[in-house]
Amino acid sequence: MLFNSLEFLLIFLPVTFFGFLVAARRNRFFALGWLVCASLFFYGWWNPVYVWLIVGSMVVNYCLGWILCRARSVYVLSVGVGLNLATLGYYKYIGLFSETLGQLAGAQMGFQDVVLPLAISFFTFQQISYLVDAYNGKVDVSNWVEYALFVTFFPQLIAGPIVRHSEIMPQFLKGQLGPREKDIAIGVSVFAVGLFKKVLIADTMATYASPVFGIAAEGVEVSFLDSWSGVLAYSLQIYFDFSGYSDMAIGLGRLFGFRLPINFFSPYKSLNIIEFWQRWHITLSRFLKEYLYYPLGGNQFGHARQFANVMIVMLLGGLWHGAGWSFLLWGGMHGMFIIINHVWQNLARTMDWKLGRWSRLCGVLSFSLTFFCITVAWVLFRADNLDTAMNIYRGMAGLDGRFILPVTYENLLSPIVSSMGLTFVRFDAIQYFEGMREAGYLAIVLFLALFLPNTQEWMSRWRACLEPIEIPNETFTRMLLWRPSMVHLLVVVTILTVAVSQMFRPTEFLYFQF
Amino acid sequence: MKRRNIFKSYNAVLGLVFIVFGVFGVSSVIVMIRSDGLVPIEKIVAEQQRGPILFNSPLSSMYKHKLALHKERAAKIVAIGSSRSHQFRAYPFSESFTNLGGVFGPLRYSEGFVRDLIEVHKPEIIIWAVDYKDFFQAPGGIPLRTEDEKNIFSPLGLVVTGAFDWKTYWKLMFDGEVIENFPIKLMGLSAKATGSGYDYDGAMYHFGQHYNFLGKDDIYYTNSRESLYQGIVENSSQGDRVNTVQPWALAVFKSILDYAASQDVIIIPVLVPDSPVVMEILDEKPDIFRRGLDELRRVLPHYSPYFTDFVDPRQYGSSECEFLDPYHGGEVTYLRIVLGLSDVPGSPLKSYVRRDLIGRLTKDYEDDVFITEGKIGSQFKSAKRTRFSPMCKNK
Repeated sequence: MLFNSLEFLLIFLPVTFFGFLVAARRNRFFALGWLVCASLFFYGWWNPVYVWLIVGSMVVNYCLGWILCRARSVYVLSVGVGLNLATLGYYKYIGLFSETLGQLAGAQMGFQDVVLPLAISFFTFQQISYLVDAYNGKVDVSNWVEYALFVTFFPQLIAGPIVRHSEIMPQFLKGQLGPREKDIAIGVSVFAVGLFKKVLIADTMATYASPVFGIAAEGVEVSFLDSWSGVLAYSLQIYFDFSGYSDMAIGLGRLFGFRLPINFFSPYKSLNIIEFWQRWHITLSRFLKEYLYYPLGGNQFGHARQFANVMIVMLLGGLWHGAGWSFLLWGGMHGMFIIINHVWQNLARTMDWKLGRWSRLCGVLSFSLTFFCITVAWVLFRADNLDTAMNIYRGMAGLDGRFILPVTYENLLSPIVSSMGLTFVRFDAIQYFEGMREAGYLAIVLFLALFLPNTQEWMSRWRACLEPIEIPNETFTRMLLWRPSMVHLLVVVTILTVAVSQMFRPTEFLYFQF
Repeated sequence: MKRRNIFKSYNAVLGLVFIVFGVFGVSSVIVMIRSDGLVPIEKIVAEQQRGPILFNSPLSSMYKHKLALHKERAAKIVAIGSSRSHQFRAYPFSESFTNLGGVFGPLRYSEGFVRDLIEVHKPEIIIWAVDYKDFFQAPGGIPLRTEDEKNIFSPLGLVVTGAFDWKTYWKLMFDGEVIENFPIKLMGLSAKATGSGYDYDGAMYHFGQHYNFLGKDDIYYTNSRESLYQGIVENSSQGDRVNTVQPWALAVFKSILDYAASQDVIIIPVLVPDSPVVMEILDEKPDIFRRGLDELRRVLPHYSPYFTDFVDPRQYGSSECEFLDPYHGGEVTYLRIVLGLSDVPGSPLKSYVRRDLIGRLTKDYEDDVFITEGKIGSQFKSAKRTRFSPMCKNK
């Protein structure tokens, strides 16, 4: 079930919410149990067969965690982490492994059809973090229902945030369970913004991006403008898709009276790639840093070892996003960017560079370069395979005579083109780029991403998420911040209504199957 | 206390909004039920064979509907293609015939349908209504919808996205029907809303248009000659790529023909007609307006010995008055095409066509869109002189 489906919004959510309200007044166990049942129903809606998998995974991890809380055994921890990774490996990577081996050896291993169960990457990582925290004595034994809800709580189940046991458990155990009026108002408002981002912005961007990647996958030579517009549209699609989802998750959590950790914080505003990863999928970055990068040694053993660790983490992070060589390359590309970023920062420190009056210009250049790198890397993330990605890259570079401009601009531009001696520029029908209309949409959406406060900043006075958010200083931004007023109610009702009216278009969350 | 009241009011309004959403949601479920959205397609197809019933629904996958029809009827001859194949009907054939048209979308996705239909039941002959514009497209496009729309909120979605108007929606919800005293039983949302739908043989009847029961995206003939001319000019000025037969499309075309041949099924590719006015416009600047079409006419015969060209209705006596719109010939036009197909030397259809009947009907209904005879046609006698084209000179 998707958050942006009417069956979720009009049936599942009201039933679950009112059931929880009633149960919370009577008994904590029933209330939490109700949410577990609802969350399993939510999970099983996709394919009921895999409910056993998440339940089985929870039972095994709960038992191992119980043992680890009592006896700090590295063997038990190893078995637990190993079992989780083996399960993830089987469902997520056996197909890739089998296919690759088949291509190399010319034989079929028969695992190509293994279906990737929904959310397995998320609940596996969440439970690994639980086991490690239990081993380190950071968590206490919880009862079975509380643990089950920690794993399955539907707002965070299918696409994060990857929640720590210590972040959510105190909220399950607090005195008065159930939302207060404030929680409901904040929760619905944040959810509405997320829904709007997903349905109105991300899905619209998809209509520009998907056809371009579609024809590239067909082997059609994609033109310069088509490829750039498609890639830029995809960059904005995935941005608002994940941003919208993260908002909806936090809003839904808050609707039930729980605060979830922030997972997305205007990553395209980053001035370097390291900052990008501190803003994009924050809980995944945190997991990789604390449970992989630090155990590998982090930056404790010199630059060479640090860079190797960064590369390992990013390659695995890439593979976590999808079982495909293009995801591995995407991770590798980001790993390379981060290493270059570190080298640059080290150099700046060593040389003691002072930017002075150039700081603003350098900021613009840093932002532009970062955004360019992220956008270029998305091609690998989105393309079905490496051939498709190369096709798009060749289009973006204008190779193979693909520097084609719309024939409608021929009269306007051909004198300029010929006077500049740009003989490689052709005028013809390009396939998908819609000219100024599309460019206008892309510019507006990019403006929204770069210059408006994000949802958590918008809510900063009322802290919708787990972490406190700094209230912006700018007067204009402060004026926009949410408060429980009629003006903001009108805004929320309007965007909610518009979003719901647009929920009939075909859609799927990009982060849905990771 | 004051703040608490603010939140109370805030939440009360939000609650009200959700209640309104809920009311619309319930209405959608009612419309879904009242427009047969929950009836299995196999049951509808079986009921249609007992008929007369016109069925059409955007909630049903055309792919599934036509395959179910094909399975039920197991005909010797079938027609495939886009909406431009809709007017091929069973009665001009002396052997069993089913119209599986309307399924085809982008060429590359249509190949799967041909494979599936042969797997369901192997016909002897497939008449493929070829739309020449399919050969000039970029590859890609939207895949064919192979599953029904089972979402109970889909009727609401259709009205919100403009496929139907709210008046139709509420009428369906409260009365269960939109068109009062329609002489034929209608099943499915589109049929109930517009009065047009598929007959037992899979062919389409557009009697709803005759009665002006139109959905928003009707095929009513609204184009003037000037607007048609302008559209063709704009299309032609988009550069080489959109006026050239695309190699990928030819490859798909060949692949479909090869597959059918490997299954001992004959495919007769037929270039289906544009209206006479469109052809006149194309003739004005053949090097520009007709470039792609002429290229295709040169190329396709090399792919199939059965290829036939019926693009120009003036060549076989079909007038502007016989057209539903600039790119959709009416029932009489397609009767002429069936006759023409059987006349082609060596045609596999030669002994499968009721020539006398077609001869009489094309004479009696010259310049008409509809044949007002037969189980369904006879219910619409007044539709005989219906004219859709504003450019029909013989009104």
